[in-house]
Order: sequence, then structure tokens, then C-alpha cells
Amino acid sequence: MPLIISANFGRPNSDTLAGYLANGGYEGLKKAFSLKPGQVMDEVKKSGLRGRGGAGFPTGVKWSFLDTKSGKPIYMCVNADESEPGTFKDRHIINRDPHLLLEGIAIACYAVGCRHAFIYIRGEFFKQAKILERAVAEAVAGNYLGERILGTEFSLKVVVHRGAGAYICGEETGLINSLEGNKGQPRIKPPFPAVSGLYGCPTVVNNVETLAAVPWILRNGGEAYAKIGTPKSTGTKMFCVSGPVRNPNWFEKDMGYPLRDLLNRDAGGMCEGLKLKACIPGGSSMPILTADEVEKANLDYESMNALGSFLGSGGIVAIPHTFSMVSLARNLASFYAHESCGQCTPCREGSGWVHRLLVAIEAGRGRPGDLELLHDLCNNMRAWATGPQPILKWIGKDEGLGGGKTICVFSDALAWPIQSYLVKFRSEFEEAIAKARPSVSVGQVVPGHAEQHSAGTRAGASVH
Amino acid sequence: MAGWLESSGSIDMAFELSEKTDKRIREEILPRYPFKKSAILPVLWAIQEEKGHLCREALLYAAQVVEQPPAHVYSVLTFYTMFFQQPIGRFHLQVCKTASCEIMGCRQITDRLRQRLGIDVGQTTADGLFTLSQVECLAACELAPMIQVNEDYYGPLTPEKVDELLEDLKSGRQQVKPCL
Amino acid sequence: MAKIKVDGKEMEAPAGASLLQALLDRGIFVPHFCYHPDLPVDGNCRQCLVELETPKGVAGVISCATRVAEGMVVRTQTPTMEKARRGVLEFLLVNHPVDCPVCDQAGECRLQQYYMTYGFHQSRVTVEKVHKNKTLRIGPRVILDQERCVLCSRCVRFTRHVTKTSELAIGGRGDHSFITTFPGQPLANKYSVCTVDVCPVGALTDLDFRFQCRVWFLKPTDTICHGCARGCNAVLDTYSHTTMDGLQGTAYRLRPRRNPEVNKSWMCDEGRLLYREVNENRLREPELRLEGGARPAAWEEALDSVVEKVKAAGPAAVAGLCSPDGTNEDLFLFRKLMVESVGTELVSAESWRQPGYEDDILLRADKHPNSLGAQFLGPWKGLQEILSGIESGRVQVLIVLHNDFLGMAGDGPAVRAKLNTLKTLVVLDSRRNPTVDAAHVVLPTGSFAEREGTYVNFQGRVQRAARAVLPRWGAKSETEILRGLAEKLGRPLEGLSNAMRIWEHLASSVPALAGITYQEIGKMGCWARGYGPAAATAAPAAAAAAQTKPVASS
Repeated sequence: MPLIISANFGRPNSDTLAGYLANGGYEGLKKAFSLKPGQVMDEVKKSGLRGRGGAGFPTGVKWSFLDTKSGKPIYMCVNADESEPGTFKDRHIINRDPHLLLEGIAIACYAVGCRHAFIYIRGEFFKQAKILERAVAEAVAGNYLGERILGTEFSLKVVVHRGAGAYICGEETGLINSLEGNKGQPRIKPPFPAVSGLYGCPTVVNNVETLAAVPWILRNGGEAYAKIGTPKSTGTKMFCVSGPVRNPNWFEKDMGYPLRDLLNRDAGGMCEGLKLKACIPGGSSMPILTADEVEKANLDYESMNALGSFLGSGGIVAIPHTFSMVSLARNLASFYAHESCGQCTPCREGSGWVHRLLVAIEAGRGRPGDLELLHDLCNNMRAWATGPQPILKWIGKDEGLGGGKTICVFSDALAWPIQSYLVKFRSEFEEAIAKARPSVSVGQVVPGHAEQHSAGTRAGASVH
Repeated sequence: MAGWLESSGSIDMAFELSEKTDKRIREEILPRYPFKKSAILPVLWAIQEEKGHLCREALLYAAQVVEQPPAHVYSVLTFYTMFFQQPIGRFHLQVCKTASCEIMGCRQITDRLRQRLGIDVGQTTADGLFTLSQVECLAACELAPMIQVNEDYYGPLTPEKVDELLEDLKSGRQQVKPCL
Repeated sequence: MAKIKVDGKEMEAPAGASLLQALLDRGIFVPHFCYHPDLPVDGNCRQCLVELETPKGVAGVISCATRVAEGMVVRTQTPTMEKARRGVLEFLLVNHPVDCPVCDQAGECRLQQYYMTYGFHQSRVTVEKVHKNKTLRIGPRVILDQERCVLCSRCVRFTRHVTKTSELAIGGRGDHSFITTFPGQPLANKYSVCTVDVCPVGALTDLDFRFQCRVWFLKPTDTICHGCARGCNAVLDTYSHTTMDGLQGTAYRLRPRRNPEVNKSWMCDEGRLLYREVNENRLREPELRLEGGARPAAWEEALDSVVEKVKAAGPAAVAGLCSPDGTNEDLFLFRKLMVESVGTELVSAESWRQPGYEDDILLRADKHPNSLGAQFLGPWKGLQEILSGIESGRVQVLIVLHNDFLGMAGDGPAVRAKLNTLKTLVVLDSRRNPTVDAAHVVLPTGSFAEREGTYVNFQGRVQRAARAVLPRWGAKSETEILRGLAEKLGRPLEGLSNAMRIWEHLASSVPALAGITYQEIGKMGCWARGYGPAAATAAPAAAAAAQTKPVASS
């Protein structure tokens, strides 16, 4: 089983250009330069590589959508705004092998004809931004980036751009808006970024891990990559395991690897005295799997869909039997309410409402009918309209179809997990409501459930 | 009504940016982008790096540099969580509170910090050393429960380790090592 | 044009147009907040959801951001969409204070209206609301209530795209988002109250109108703003209800009426305040200031004294002065009275208002509403000719209609000195001003709200203002006064009994207005002959002529 992303992680000086070159670095770029850009794109198409940010769209196909006839410059945005709860793979890639990412960027830009790439990195990653800036300087000095790279006609400017604390900037059009100097609010599509993205120009947005796989594909060929994993989910993927397991960490595995093995063998199983109750399979936005489902789950796009969930970003969170699903739902609703960009009505108002309802239920102020209300609010928030609907596997009669309720799928990212908890762990919610303390009236603040507080700016408004 | 809409942030009529930062903004940051507007975040970062926070006059300066209306800069600033309109403590303790961190006990960490510092979340200690915040997922779930102090990540934490960390920060020694 | 199918019915709509606008134009109502025909599409409110057949299956889409395309199949009424729209409306109310009884928008609030039409549900909100700031004075004319705001961003887009002043923005995020200015910098552009118009709820209110009158006591009348040569299409709101009769006819508000050819949906802040002319500083009865001091007089006596003075002086010693403030009808009738009934050729329609501020949005330097119309009705004599006539003693009686030539900045005092030799100054006006103060006979006319007639704006757009109220107090309409004088002079103005009849006469005698009927003018106006975009492409010279000029003697 080859390691494609993390091969150099343990090696000395893996974060420097010298270390990278010692490990065969930038050979993929040289290989790319021996091919025509179209051939590079074909190689990536052949590999079957799919976007590792969560959506799983075929990368080569995404590149081929770029409007090259407009005469406008083509931009690349590298999505290093890693913020999906449960996910920390990109941070490690940047920490341990920044040149792998830069080589991937250079190859991708060569393939699509881009001369100006931006790495959008989340604001909290101070160190990683510095690592990348240093790596870019090294690469420019070594002529792996910059003007007339390695003596070819191809030039590429790479700029590291720091965010400032907003999950939604990981959505590709939110990222573009943020990079343009706006609030990071997603844009209405169409037009898609491939036609009109950054500064109204054709733009491709790729995740860090996606690009980090590209040098290997060039060195070894798309076909070799396609042989790894499953027929439709090719290659390897970085999986992140957190929660009370013995060895919480990232693991690079072939696509299709059993989730059970990842949790029990690689991550060392649950900590002493704890049993696995459920598992977030691909970042907090994805519908949850029960312990039984974990037994059947393989880590590839199709298997996850068959179980009514998604592979997502590969952020796997083990939920122990001691942790209440009501609390988990409240925790995530709080996250989404805090991170909603506030543009579309259903998401802006719905995320806060769902959060406050869950706070009430958890605090013993739940009322009969609250679960039906929660479920219906989630229905009214969901935006995904067309294409496969894996959630139909467990949601029963779906009254949230129709879609179009929001610009991006952020509100689905709240609705999916909450509805999956409500359906799969209903008894926990019913018990919370049954145990409600009638003496606590609505509006009374229950100690220990303070709202989000941050020294960051929350001007003009406050929650009471 | 002199001020129209009152500022929620600090006002510093004597605001002046150092020549060094001003030069960095104009000669390094702006040329990176085809359009000046793109430089809003890096310009705000550069000012905050020097001043610790962004007063009203800093925003006016930023608006002028990136050639955008002040109201736009203000709306961008308030959209993101990492810009401060008021001075904060020398050490910004940001406890991650999302999913894995709560499962792994971030509440104990926050409670310990509250207790030790004698402040609540969102407050700054009287000596100006510490500001306590709760933040959303910092993409370091393997370190849960974890905390970001200024630019550094620390985890996995226990209440005891929190005590050590506070001692470290106060005394300048480094027994608790930051994580990558 | 594209063929589309909406709710099973085939229809045609312009390809590429906003589907929502196409539906609205075809009488199919879809609720919406953030869409505005004169602002860029933003698509944030999600209220205008409709169902669309796509290659991937049936999908909900927001109709505002969907472009009409050939073969499109749209459904506006399915249970799925109705549920979705009801859901959106419910979300909008989660954090809304629902303080309709004390909200100035009540009665003209979309949120209130849609709730009655599409929601009408028991509230399911059991959680606390998010609280924000209220009663923020964000500019000299506008008050903001952040809690009532639905964050549709119309006001933000107005300041960004129309005035390009960008004073407003949405701060924060999630359900803590709020409309704001930059702290300390007011919303103070010349069109700031348009943000109140575009606000679909009670978040932005007009400081001038706020708490003055409940809107259901107001009667809207289509009118034309007379503040400058733009002639913004407007609605005048006047009190009209069977209770509290003392307020009957009081004007409360002048607001824009959409006309894409002239003012889109906008109007300047200054123009809006002209409604006050209906209420304030009005002349309530005729006044005589002849030998023995000033005194109020009955209409009969006042008119008789004018006729007596005219007859005594003889036709050659009488001059008339009107201005481009008047409607075409009034100018036409005034001239006819002077030429035919009095028998003098010395009639001027000179401008008396100083040129003012102009921009490329709406405001024009020419502060008269009907300069081009006056030009069409010319040639006129110049005011200078009248003044020299007075100085030489040739002119003894001057009849003035809506021309405060003595109030004119700068020139007023100098001109006044020349009037010592004038025997009789007759002034027809609605409000007290320096010229009225100098008059020997004051004949009170109605304000702009009390007259009916047409104006021609600087572009050559012929526009009609309807009468909102009958002449208030003891005032009479211009038509009635001028016809009364003609009759008493023994030369009645036959067949010119009302504005429409006068229009028919003048339209047949003025080439630029030839054959235009009130019907053709309609609510939105029409182009004078040789004016407008079609004429501009046909003959650029005509377009050049459309540039407004001060009315001068020829």
C-alpha cells in the first residue's frame, strides 16, 4: 500500500526544500513539463482523483470546465481554510510537507494555464502560513516557482493569503469573495467559478489534499493511481480520527478501507471503559453512523452513500456511549449558528433557532412537539435539490425536498447531522424532553450554558 | 447627536501607524494582488499585528489604503472573528469548544481557566495579561481538548496542564510545549 | 421572446430576463423581499422560490436569479414550494419583534402582508429572540431599527449601486447580522430616503413621516415632483378619511413612483419635502392692498378690482408674467387670457429660480418643472422688456402667475425698486412670498396638489399630474381664476373648462405636442414629438434640443 500524501512526513527536514528534493521532490513537475498541459490534465482525469475537500468532484473534470476561451487570466485558489470539525489533515500536510502542496499547485497551474495562484489559509493557522511563506520563498529561489520555472516558458506567482476566522470561507465561492476583499459569503451559481470566479475570471478552487496527490500522479501515472482504492473512489485519502480513541491521529489509507479497522486497529480502539455509540464519518456536516453501521462501513464515496452518509472531508469523530447525542447536536448547532454567513434567510435564522431549541432541550426546558419542530425546521433549511439523495436511506418520508432554499449547502450541513441524530437516536431526545423540569420557564438562563463568547468582534448585536 | 451611529470599538484620534508597517502595506502587501480591495484582510492583519487591535481610525486608514468605503471595511471586519476592536490581553486564550473538544472535556479546561484567572469567557484579567475566549473548531481535533494561545496550539490538555501552561505564560518558561 | 410554461399555461417572456420580473409582469404574483427591479439581484431572502424542471429533475430555484429561457417549465403553486415559502416566511419572523401596532410600516409592510397571505400560522417560536439595536438615527433623514430588519440588503445595494456612496453595509454574520453605517459617518446622501422606500419592512423609517399618520388614512395620488426639470414621477399621500375631518386634504408625504424612463424608483430627499407646500404658508383668501390699506376680500370683489384696473389702464399698459413652474395648461390659458381677453402681447414666462445642484442621478440644475413645456408654448417676451415698460411708465398693470420674481436671489431688491411706478401688481400664487407681499391684488391659487395638468421634463417626457385634493381653504384653481377674469373682461375663454379640454387645444397648436392625448400620456408619460430614445437615434439634433435651456425671449 503506497503512501501518496504522507510518504515524507516522518523524514528529516521534510518541511524544507532540501528535504523535499532529497525525497524526489519536484520530479512530478519536471514530468509535467515534458508533457503538454492537456496531457497533464488527461493524466489527472485518468487517475480518477476526486476533490478531497468534501464534495468529491472529479478533479480533472473540474479543471477541464475552465473557460479558456474568454481571454481573461485564469486563477487558482488553493483551499487551505480547513475548518470542518473533525478534520486536521491539511494542517499536517502543510506542517510536514509544504513543498508537496506547492508542487501540486505548480503542476495544476501548468495544466490549466494559470499564472497566479492564491493559497487561502485559515487565519488561525499562523504557523502554517509562515511555513508556506517560507516554502514559497524557497521554491522561488530554487526556480520551482516564479518566473520561467526550470527554464520553461511557464511562470507562476503563488501568494499566501490568510483568512481571519470564518468557516464559510471554505466554501469555494465564499473563499473567492473573501479573497476579493468582501465578506466570505458564497455566491449564487451559476455562474460557476470555472467561468466567472475570482475577479470575474475563470477560477479553479482545489483542496490542499487534492493538490498534494497530483505530484505522485504525474510521477507514477494516472493509471497507477486509479489502481489504488476502489474503481470509483481511487487512490488514498487522509483520514482524521478524533474523540476518545487510544491513538487519535491522521491515517493515510487506500479508499475503501474499512472504518472498523481504522477505528479499532489504526486508532487503537476506544479508550478504557468506553464503548463506541456512533461515529461522525466525514466531518461534522455528514449524517452520523451508528455503531452497527460502522461495522459495515468502508471508507469510499460510494459505500458511504450506500449507508446514507458521505465520505466528506475524512474527519472521523468517535462518539462514546457516555456522551449524549442531545449534547452533540447542541454542540454542532452552536457551531453552525456561529458560522452561518447570514446571507440566506433559512440558514441565518434557522441555524440560530435550531441551536436555541437544542439548548432548551438539553437544559431540561424541552416541550412535547419540539422534536417534530426541529425535524421540520431542518426540512425547511435544506437546499440540496437534485442528484442523489443518500439521506433518503434513513430519513423516511422526506418533506425537505425541493431545495433551492439557500445559496450554498451550509444549511444542509446543519440539517443532515441534526436530522440523522433525531432519527437514529430518537430515544435520547425523547428522554431529555420527558425529563424536562417544568419549573424552569422559557427565557430563564440555565447556568453552564452560556452562549458563545469571543473577544472577537460581535459589534452591534448581542444575545440575551 | 454628534457621533451618529456610535462606535462599538475604540476610538483613537491620535492613531498613527509606524512607518515600517505602512511601508510593508504599500510595498509588500498591495502589490501581491491585482486589485487593492483584495488586500483588506492582510492590511487589517498588519495593523493589528502592530497595534494589537483595530480602532476606528485604523479602519479609516485601511479603507483609504485599499480604496474602499469605510462601511465596507467595517462590515468585513465584523464578519470575521479574529479582529479586535478593543485591546485584548497579552495572551489570548482560545479554548476550542467544538465536537471532539467537548467530547474530550473542553468544559473542564474552560472552567479551570475561569477559576484560575478569575474572569469569565469574553473577559480580560485586570493585569491585562489574559483574555479568555471560546472558539469554534481549530482543526486540531487529535489534540482535543486543545487551546490556542496567540499563535500556538496546545493539547491534549488536562486541568493540571492548564495550570502549568498559565505558569509558563506568566513566567516566560516553556515546560508545556506548543504543538505543530 | 422565449416560450415558457407557467403553472400549465404557455406564455412568452423576454429571454434572459429575471424570471420573477417576467412572472410579476404577467400578473403572476410571487412573494419577494430582496428583489427590486432597479437594483442588482442578490438572492438572499429566498422568498421567491418556484419549482423548475431541470435536466437533473425538478428543483426549487429562486425566481429572481433565474433567467428566462426557451422551453422553461415553471410551477409556482406546488405543495413543496408552498411549504418552502411558508418556511422562509416563518424564519423571517423568528427574530422579528412583531411590533406591528407601533411600527410605522404597518399597512404597507411586505412581511405583514405575506404573513396574512402565505403564512397565517400559529407561532412555533418558543426560544428567545436575538436582540439588536433600535431607533438608531443613522442620518439626517433616516431611522434604523435593526430588529425589524430582514437583511434583504436593498438599502445597502441602493447606496452601493445607485448613489455610489456606500454608506450602508451589513455587519456581523449569522442571525447577529445587522445593517450599519461606518461608526460616526451618517447616511447623508441626497437620496437617502430612497433606502426607506426600498426597505420592505419597518427597519428604515423616514424621520419626516415617522409617527405622523397611519398609512391607511392616506390617499395616494399620482403626481409629478416640481422640484426640478427631472419631473420625477411621484405619489402624493394626503389625508382622506371620514373621521377627523379637520385633517382632510393635509399632505403627509411625497414619494417616488416607478418610471424607468425618468426616475426609476428614486427621488431626491429635497423633492420629497415639497409636500409641505400643500400645508404651510398658504394664502387662504383674496387680498386687496389698494388705497386705504390691506384687507381680505371676497373673490367677486377681488376679480372685479383687477378687471377695473385693466380696463382703466388699457390693453397696451397691461403685461403678464408666468413661469416654467406652471403646467402647460395654465401657461396656455394664461397666455390666451392676456392675448385674447386683455389684448396685450407683452407676456413672459421667464425663469425665476436660480440654477442649483445637479448630478448624474436625478437632480437637475434647472429647478423649474416645465421649462421645456414653456419653451414649446413660446415664443414669450422677456421679463426685461416688461421691466423697461414699467420703468418707462408704459406698463401700469402687471399680472403674475406663479413667478416670485421679487424673491429671486440677488435681483429681487433691484427689480423691486423699479416697481414704484407700477400702478397695479396682481399676483396669483398659492403661498406667501416676496412678490405676493408686494402685490396690490392677491388671488390665492391651489398648490401643486390641487391642480391637474401636464409638464414636459428636460428629456422631453410629457407627464401628467393628477389633482390630489380640491383647492383648500378659500383658494381657487388657476383655470377657474383665469376663466373668471376673461369672462369679466367680456371675452370668455370658450371651451377651455378643464385641463383636458385645454390640453386638446394646446396639443393641436404646438408641433412638439401635436396629436398627443391624455390617454397617450397615461400614468407613465410619453415622449414629445422628436424626443426620447427613438428620436435620439433617428435624429441626434433633436436630442441636443432636448437639453433644457432657460426660457428666454425670442
